[in-house]
Amino acid sequence: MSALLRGEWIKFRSVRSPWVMIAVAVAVVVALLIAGIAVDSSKGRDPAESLAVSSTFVIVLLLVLGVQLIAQEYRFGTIRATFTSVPDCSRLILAKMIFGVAVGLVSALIAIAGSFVVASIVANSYGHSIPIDARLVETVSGYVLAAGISVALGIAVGSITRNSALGITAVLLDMFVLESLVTVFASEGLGSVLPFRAAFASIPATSIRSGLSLWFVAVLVYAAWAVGLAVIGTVIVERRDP
Amino acid sequence: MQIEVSGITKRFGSVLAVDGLSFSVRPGAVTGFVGPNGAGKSTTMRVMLALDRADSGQATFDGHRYRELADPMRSVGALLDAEGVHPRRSARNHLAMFAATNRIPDARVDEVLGLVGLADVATRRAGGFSLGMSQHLGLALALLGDPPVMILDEPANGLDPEGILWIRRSMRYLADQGRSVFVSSHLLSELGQVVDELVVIGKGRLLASGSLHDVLGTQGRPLVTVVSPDARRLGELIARTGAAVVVDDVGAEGGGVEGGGAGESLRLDVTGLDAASVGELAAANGIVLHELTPREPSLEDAFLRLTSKTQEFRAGEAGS
Ligand SMILES: Nc1ncnc2c1ncn2[C@@H]1O[C@H](COP(=O)(O)OP(=O)(O)O)[C@@H](O)[C@H]1O
Ligand SMILES: [Mg+2]
Repeated sequence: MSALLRGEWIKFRSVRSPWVMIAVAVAVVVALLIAGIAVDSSKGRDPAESLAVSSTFVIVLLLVLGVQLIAQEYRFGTIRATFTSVPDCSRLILAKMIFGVAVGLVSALIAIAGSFVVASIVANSYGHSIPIDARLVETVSGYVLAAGISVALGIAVGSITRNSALGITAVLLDMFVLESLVTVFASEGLGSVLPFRAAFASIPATSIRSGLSLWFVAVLVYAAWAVGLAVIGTVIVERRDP
Repeated sequence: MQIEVSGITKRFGSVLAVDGLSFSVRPGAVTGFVGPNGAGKSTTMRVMLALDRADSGQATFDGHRYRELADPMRSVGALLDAEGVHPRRSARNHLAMFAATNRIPDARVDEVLGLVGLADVATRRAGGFSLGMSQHLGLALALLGDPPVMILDEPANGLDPEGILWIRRSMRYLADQGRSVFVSSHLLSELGQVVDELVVIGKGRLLASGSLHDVLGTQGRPLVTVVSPDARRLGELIARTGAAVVVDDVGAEGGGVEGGGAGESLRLDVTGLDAASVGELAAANGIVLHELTPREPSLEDAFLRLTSKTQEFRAGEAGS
């Protein structure tokens, strides 16, 4: 598996587009946190909420990144060589998912750590410090885990759709249309276990209300979606000729 | 490494692309895999590499299926058609990512880039490569694991004559090192004299296999080219004698019957009847000949005859 992960790392680092996406994600997190603190300088705004503001955008971006990590292989025709070098597609998809989780976790950690450093400096200049409490710790933990799972989930979706436009459309439709419809017209309970509701429930400070009151249960639900879709993707890839 | 292909059948919907195909490929030889476009060569190769799932049958490498090979690039090197490269990735990184997954040392990447003559452009984006350079990069990928088996699908595609010569020499060199080289082409002439063994297929079925001489053993069988304004009738007459006839449009060949007026003039490639007999047959039936040429049997003739690329006369069709 370490050999496969090294292969994924070379694939990842040797083109520019994933770096651009990650740079944008990091920039957005940092910018929103600073903005939150600067705008609300008098009160010293809750940094957990500032973080939560960026979560929708970051999760969408990391999902798109995940879809791209596999769809680009189909687009540019490297997928055949990838499968001849690793004929066991379950191992290949597993390696991609593990790598994806690592990319998401590391990006989110860098973004959050970076933004806290910058935010502390900004806050200090206004004469106050950033309050670190349990809720902030939970928010950061949930945020980082949700970020990792998002990339993996994107990879799972990409393994099913093979096409990035299709994969991204599916993700956005589900996120912004389908899940709201289910929550409104079916039941709140059912809605809360859908992937993106679970993703946002993973981050305690997000405003989206969810039936999943414990953030780490939501993390598990979100991860279960990624694993489930990856299993479906593996079965499909196994059956379909590339 | 010995390759055994046994009873591979592959359907795409209603198209039977490969139909119960069996053959073997031995080490130390270049085995040509020839057949017209659409004969099922690429499909067979994809099945061998576990990219396509066969409906039945299997291919083994020294008794192991492709999927059972650990680090398969170290056993089998493949160059397939429509193989891609991320246009913004350098040639070196393109190879390095596959080397990593198969535990091939990084130093080997630069070695193969040197072997195929891409050392100077190793760090350049592969998107800017010419078709020929891309083929060379594909060959570098196939060579990466220093594999005892090479499977090459139409490697001459997109190459200039110099490149084709280079490919031929490379295949000869690899086979002489004791590797099994299995190479497809829709044109036997493209492979030239480099092949030792042939597997000929048409419409997914095996037409012939064995050594070059066994398959294309045209020795002793006379070959004649005839051009006649009444070629269809002559063809039928010749076919009745048991000789093989392949008909060709002279115009399409750029042959010299312009100004003859009759667009009817066709060229016949006759095997199994000598020029004298053809001439006598024509005279006896009052058929005018524009050309009557005995020819040396070539690989391509025998191949064309086997695969019947063009229309073929049959004795039974006479008098229609
Ligand atoms: N992915 C595919 N889907 C449907 N039909 C295919 C596919 N690949 C090949 N075929 C069909 O199978 C036959 C054999 O094709 P192919 O193996 O590419 O032949 P060759 O390589 O000898 O030219 C053709 O009729 C082709 O149209
Ligand atoms: Mg082909």
